[in-house]
Amino acid sequence: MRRLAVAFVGEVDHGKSTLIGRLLLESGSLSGRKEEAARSGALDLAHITDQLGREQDESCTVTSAQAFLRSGGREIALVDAPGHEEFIRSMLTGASSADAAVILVDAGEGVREETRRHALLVKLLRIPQAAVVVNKIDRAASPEAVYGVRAREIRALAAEIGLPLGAVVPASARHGAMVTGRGAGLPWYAGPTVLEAILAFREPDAAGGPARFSVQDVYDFTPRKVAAGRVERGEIAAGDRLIAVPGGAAVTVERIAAFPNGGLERLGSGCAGALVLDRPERVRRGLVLAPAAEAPVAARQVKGRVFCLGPRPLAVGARFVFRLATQDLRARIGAIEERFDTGALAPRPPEGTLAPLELGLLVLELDGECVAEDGNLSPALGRFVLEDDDGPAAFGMVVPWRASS
Amino acid sequence: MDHLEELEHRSIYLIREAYHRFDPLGCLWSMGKDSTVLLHLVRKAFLGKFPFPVLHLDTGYKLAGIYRFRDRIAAEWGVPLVVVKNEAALAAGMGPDSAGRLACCTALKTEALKGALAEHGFRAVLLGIRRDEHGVRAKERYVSPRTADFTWDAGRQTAELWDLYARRESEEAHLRVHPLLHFTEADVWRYVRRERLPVCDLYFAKGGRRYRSIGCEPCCEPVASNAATVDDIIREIGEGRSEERDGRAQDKENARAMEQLRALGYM
Repeated sequence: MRRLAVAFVGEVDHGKSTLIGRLLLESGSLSGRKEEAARSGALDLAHITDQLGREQDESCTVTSAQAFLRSGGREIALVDAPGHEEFIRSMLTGASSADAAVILVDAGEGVREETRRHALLVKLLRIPQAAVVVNKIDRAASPEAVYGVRAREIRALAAEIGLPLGAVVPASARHGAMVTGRGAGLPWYAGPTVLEAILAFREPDAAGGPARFSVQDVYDFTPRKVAAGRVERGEIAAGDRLIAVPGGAAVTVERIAAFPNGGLERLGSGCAGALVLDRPERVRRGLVLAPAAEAPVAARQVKGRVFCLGPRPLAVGARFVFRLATQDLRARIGAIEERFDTGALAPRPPEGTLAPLELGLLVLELDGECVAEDGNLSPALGRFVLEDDDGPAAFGMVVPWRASS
Repeated sequence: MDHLEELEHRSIYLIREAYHRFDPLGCLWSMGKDSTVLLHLVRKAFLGKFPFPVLHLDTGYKLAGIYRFRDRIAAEWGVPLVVVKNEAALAAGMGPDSAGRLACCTALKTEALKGALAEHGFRAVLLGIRRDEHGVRAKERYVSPRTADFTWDAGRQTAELWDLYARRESEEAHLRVHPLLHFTEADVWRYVRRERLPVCDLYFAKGGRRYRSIGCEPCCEPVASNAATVDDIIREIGEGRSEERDGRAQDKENARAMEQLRALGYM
């Protein structure tokens, strides 16, 4: 089994870093020196991941970090994502690589703007599983009643955005209740602890179905010319007859090259491999190899749900570099069809622009043909970024044409 | 796909992306376990070849076993090795005792790298750092820009979405690329075992002591250990509660972390 990554998201100051620190401490994942410091109070639990001077001075995570939890023979990467809206780029850096999410809600404050936005982003990024922690429950005068209110509130939010939700755990990260042990103050709660909820997350299934191989590069300095790339879904085997999209040129996989042991019979989903092809001159970076009978369709237009990272708004007519798997194209925003306020979860009239932190339905006009697929089938072929000289200005999830019409 | 395969494929994909997008590319090799794993992943990515130079930032103070290991592996693997030294600083007597550890590291490693970047014009260099080494390294991105004066503003990093590794061309002077970021210390040793990779013999215990992290002779201390094989080391890490870089006296980041702990009342 591979190691899962769990992103901790939610409003600033609802306790993400402290909860991660508490999980690491109580599971015995810290070094002896750090454990001693944390137990004596010399090391603030939140500062185990908040290591930057600025983060410690301001008590606020600025950039996402990862720490490794060890429990019951398993290792899980805990991703501490910043909760402040100013650091949304960093939150997305952490969350985009996650297999599961833990959404924190302060028992006193309840669902806030960033709770809503992060929950929506968890859904948008296709993170397939999520649990909720109602934190700081020790501060509530009647914890059971407050928990009931918050659980209803967060379940209503999840239902509104279509996010499947697992356990909703009442906890106190500061005092360690219901984190790894049950503690004394919450006898009315019968569900899992935070640690149990995390250990219940499953490894997402590998992407199956007809094969897709993104060509990264062609090497001619290797003993035989090879097409290097990655299996985005399905499986590639020696002898496969494939076509390269766009264009449709036919190639046959003669061999799957490998070092140091000669060759492989097959490459599964997610594998970075190198194919010896009968006609290597027919492929180049950006092409997608697939079986002819079930090949993807290439198009000069892509429709996507696009989240604007800022600092500038996106406008119809603006030009960017469009990057999807190994496909790099020039793109122009052709239309903004819908616009959505991600903090209020409310639609706004699309007036030709998308402001930072807004989500839109965009049509992108490309300077060449592109293979973009339903991300539920081919995760890596279903997502993209729009970049300028300052880095990513937006990211998006492909909306397949059929589904949107 | 099992855990180590997943780590390996993610690293190889990134190494190939870096080779395609950032030209010219170099790779740093300190002869430690991590960067030796990195070199092996480069060989896997390019089917046994090294399509770019491999740099050793030689301070002249490395443990003798490191030089022996370097020369043996460089010959066996056909490594296109470029040894980089800050000759001027060494000629002027730079050392940890004469100038202090931080000044020495800066002159013999950082300045040496600056010199190599200027000489070879590298757009990017591959480095074997890992998130679990230190809390500040846990904040790193896979592709991490540096300005001309080498600064890294951890709080102002661009978004890195999935494996669409971004860059910020408006500000970067060169890029650091970190293909091992997602490996832990235990993963590295498990990978060494699976791939039957050679590692420097300083890592294995002799007389009840071994090096857990290797570097310059004056600034590295062996730790108490009886781990004499890779299996022993994997077991020791699994049970142990010490920190990997405990033996690294010159560790700037640790000094900084300690300073912060002290401000909070730690001893």
